[in-house]
Amino acid sequence: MSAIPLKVNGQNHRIDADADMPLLYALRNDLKLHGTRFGCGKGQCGACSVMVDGQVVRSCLTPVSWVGRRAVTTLEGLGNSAKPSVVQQAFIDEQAAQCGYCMNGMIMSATALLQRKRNPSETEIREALAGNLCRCGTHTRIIKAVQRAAQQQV
Amino acid sequence: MQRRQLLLSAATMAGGLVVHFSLPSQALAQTNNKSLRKEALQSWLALGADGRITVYSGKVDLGTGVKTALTQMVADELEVDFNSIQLVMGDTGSTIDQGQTAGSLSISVGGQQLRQACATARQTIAAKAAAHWGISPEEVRFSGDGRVLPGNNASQSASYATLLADGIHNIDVNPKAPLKKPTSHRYVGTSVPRVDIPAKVTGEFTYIHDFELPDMLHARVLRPAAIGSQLIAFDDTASRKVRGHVARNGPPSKRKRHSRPSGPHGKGCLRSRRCTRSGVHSRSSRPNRVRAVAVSIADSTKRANGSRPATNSRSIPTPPWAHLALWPGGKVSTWISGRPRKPPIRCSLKWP
Repeated sequence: MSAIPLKVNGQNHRIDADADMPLLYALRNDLKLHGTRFGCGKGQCGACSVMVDGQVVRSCLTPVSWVGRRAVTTLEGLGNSAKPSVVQQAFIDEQAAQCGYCMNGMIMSATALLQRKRNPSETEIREALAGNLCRCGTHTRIIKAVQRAAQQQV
Repeated sequence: MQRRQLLLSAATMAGGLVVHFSLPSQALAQTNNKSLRKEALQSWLALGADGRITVYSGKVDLGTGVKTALTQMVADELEVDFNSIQLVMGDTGSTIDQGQTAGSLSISVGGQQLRQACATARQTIAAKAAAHWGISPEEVRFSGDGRVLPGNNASQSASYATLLADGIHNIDVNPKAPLKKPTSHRYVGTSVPRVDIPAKVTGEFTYIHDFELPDMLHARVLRPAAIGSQLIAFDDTASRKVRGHVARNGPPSKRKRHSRPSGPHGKGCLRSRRCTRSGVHSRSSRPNRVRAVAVSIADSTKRANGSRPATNSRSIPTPPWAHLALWPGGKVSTWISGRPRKPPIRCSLKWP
């Protein structure tokens, strides 16, 4: 066990953990950032998605020591209910949630998509979100939310 | 920890997949002596002196929006602003058992019960105001903001709280109190934004997985493959490597093996999950690490006799099932994922 450096949402931390501990555990247990969800624990559902240097990764399968100097962005790093990000506001406007457990992964994937492509097609949105499961079945609204965000981003 | 402290510590915990405990301060003060008699008006609502109205529902919001919808119905029936309603849901200690949150019954049945209680309150307010002003109840006009006027005389008004200052503890729900007509609804029939969504898209919503109690233990409980199964062995090699591993409950016997040695999430997974038989407890040695309390739910043999598991719903959402329990001084408080209903929960839980 050693002190592992971790930069999350612009802040530097040192996590006392085993090198192979999942990044998810560091975020949730050590940094108390609960926006990142534990879903399947196997990288299959996308609920634990975070952005590392703009790339979406599954934090449940990512060793905390792998992150190194890369910048981690979680759902909390995008915005809050008082000042949501464009994507978060679009999800609110489209009422694109039921239980909401998948929202972290959906919004992370959508944010990363819009950062690399400003006006994605519906097919591209579907492909970008294909690794994120929503068992409530809110997909249609989620796609509309991403389209709305694409239109509203500055 | 006392129940009041528990509720206070859980006050930020919102609905969805968890039993709802977002109690306002005035509701907390009333919880200890609150009636749970279905006929009593005070079982359903409380009117604060500040104009805030607390409504108690045994239903929970699993993400279907019933918290918003029930609040719409209540606001219309009481003729108050939507935002003046605080809806307490699913706390079996302070809400009436309205049955399972299932079968599309939350609105059609649960909502109807709330409406009738609120209609009774409105009828009582009209009667009190009429007596105060010496007019008939039909002449009392509701202004829509928690106040009433004597007819069209806007120079006088009285708040609900003032008129009901003596309390509502002696009032029973009148099953014949007239309900508001659909044409006079202000909120029902309109698309009121869901109250839970902003927190859900920003990580501020507290699921049961996020909720922490002091000195929690995590438990992984193994579900047998079939009714009548008996646990005889399981592989806890991985879990024993977790720092803080403290105990194992329900030691394997040498009886016939039917149970699954490892759950769907793999060996050594120590989150408390949908469970039937207590398996492994683990406690982290790290001071601020989340720890969980183990809960053992009726085993498969007992369930074969007709009792139902507390988590009787294979519900839709993605998250893994998780539960929390606390039993200081022999009194048990539980936080259950899913659709709580008193009898199954209380019948199904047994304690190690």
